[in-house]
Amino acid sequence: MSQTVVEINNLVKRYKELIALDNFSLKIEEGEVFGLLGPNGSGKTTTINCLLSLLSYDKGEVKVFGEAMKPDRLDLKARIGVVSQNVAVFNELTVYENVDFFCGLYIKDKKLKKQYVNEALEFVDIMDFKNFYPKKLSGGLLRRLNIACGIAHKPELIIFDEPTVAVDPQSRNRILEGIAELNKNGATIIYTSHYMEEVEQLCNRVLIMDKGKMIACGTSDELRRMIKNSESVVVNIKRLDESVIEDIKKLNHVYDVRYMNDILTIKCSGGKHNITHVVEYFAERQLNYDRIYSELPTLNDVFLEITGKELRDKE
Amino acid sequence: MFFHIFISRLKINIRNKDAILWSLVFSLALGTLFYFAFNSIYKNAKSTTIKVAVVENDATSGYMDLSSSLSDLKYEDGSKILDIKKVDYDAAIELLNKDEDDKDRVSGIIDLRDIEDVKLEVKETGTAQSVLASVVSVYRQYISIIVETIKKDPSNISNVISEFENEAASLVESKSLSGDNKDPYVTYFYSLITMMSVMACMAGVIVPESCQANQSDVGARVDVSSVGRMTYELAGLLSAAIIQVSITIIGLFYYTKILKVNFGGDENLVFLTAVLSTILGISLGFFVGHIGRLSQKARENILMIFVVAGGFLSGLMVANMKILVEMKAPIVNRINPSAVITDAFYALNMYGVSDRYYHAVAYIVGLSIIFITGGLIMSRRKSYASL
Ligand SMILES: Nc1ncnc2c1ncn2[C@@H]1O[C@H](COP(=O)(O)OP(=O)(O)OP(=O)(O)O)[C@@H](O)[C@H]1O
Ligand SMILES: [Mg+2]
Repeated sequence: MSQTVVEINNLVKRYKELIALDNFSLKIEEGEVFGLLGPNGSGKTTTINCLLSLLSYDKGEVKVFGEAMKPDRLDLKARIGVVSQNVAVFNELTVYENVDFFCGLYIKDKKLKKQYVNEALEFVDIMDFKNFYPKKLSGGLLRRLNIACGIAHKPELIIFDEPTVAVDPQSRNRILEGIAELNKNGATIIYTSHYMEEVEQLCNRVLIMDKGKMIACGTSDELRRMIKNSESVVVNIKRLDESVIEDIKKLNHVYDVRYMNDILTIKCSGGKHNITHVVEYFAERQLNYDRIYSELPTLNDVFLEITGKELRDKE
Repeated sequence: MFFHIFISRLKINIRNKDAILWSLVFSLALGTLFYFAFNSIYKNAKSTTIKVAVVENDATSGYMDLSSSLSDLKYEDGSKILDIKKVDYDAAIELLNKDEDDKDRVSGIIDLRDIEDVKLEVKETGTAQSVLASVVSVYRQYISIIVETIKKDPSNISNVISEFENEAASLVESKSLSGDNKDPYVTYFYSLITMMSVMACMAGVIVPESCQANQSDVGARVDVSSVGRMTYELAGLLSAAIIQVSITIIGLFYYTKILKVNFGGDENLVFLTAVLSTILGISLGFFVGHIGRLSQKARENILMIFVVAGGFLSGLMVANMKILVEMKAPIVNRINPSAVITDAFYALNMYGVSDRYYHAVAYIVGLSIIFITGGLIMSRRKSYASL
């Protein structure tokens, strides 16, 4: 039977007027990669900080490894690793010294510490830069150093708060692979992000939150099944008659049609041959288009459908 | 764990070269400036013979030749300390009031008319007057012994007198070199050391920064780790202290060995006092570093107030300020670090190793302990309302 690693019940956190967490609950089992997905300002970091007892909260309870989390529970803290949203390293220490410093806050044995530090540096692949000072590192390398500092002591629960912000795709992939590997080696992972692609790729279970509230929680598939959208047919087409949109709306299973920037998006619920119907319609009307394709729903669609807004601003 | 944090904090502090360099430059440059600005004044004052009028009456002069023991006083280099003119009181006053460039002018009047109550009369304050004051104070003590000796064992009188001469000469030597509180030269250096010590608060205030989640990102990281807060803070405090104390000691070595400032009395005690004062400065910063929810800037501003206003109130800028404070609000002199440190140096300078000095040092140590304990109490682990 798997153990519950984190349990948050009815958490309420206010910053003066603003309610950052509104009766928020979640439960994470051992061995999970748990995604916390939400737009900017939805309360992800606040959740993490309450979980770590860095922030006080107005109501609710937080349990870690089955025990109530308090600021002075050093024994529980010893089993947690945190990769914070902001890079938190000492500018006066080299890459190696930084990892060594933070690892040394947990690991007393010198030999073991050295081994762990080297493993962490290998793991995030910055061994070549171990004598560099943080100021001399690129953004991606800095992020990797930040990760190494958080995981070197081999914690059972690792919390990643948007570790891939402002990181190039190559570094980002390395980071994601690394996190998957940590999980394979036995760590339970909490991963927050507003990039749904990452969360979909990495996490077993996802909680979508907005304005401090949970709006949905489950596996990616479960979440997709929660909404009526099951397929979007996208047509790249220049100039389009208003009547065409009206006609398409009348097709079977189609529940929403939008035309913007020469892109026609047709949202369909269920049905098997949605794209065929659309293609046939265009042939009938003898309309030319550049491209037509079908997209499966994403967590973004889930978010969009539940909240009526995009998960993040289009970049 | 403690050692690991201590070494790392030491590295971090040392690599923060700007802060160290600034303190060093400040300390050495100001010392050099004082040296060039005031040294010549002090050199001239060093072994000049001081003209003084001595007033006796028939009774005392008949008793024994008291004034001759005064005129026999010599500096180490053999030159006379006092150039004595025996006159009556009215003539003495006249000599005292002569113009500054008049060669007959005297710096003070030693009034021996009442042997039980030797008086010194001066018109202004300066090195010469301060030397006279110390001579007379020793003289007073010995007069009573002399009187006693004459009554009981007149044959021993010459021993007593030569003892007096040695004592007075050595006291005068250190006085004229170190001056008392009125000699600007050494006083400037004491002020400089006091200010540097209190300035060390800027190194103390950043100690909590790296382990408090609401003060920095690394603070949050340290806060979520399993290290004890007290261990972390004390290790940080020790590393800050080692660096600041080194800066203080380098400064003092520069003053004493290169600039050859003679602090008078026991130099080791000057070092010790400066080191303890530096620790007091760091403790002050450490304490302020823990107060409430303030930005680092606000904390630094509070400390600047301590450095500048505290320095002002303790008389570092305006003489007699401290006495004024002592009369109006003595409590300020007890808790103002600058005042407490000034007290110790003043006591050391004026009275040497004495109860008053021990008292002042005890205050420095006590206040440091209060600040550090207060800081540690405020630093206990807690959740923050906002980060
Ligand atoms: N110290 C604070 N004081 C006041 N309000 C705050 C504070 N910290 C966060 N908030 C507010 O609380 C809400 C939740 O913020 P939080 O940082 O948890 O969001 P987030 O999901 O982590 O966002 P992001 O993706 O930008 O990191 C936001 O509206 C934010 O403005
Ligand atoms: Mg955040």
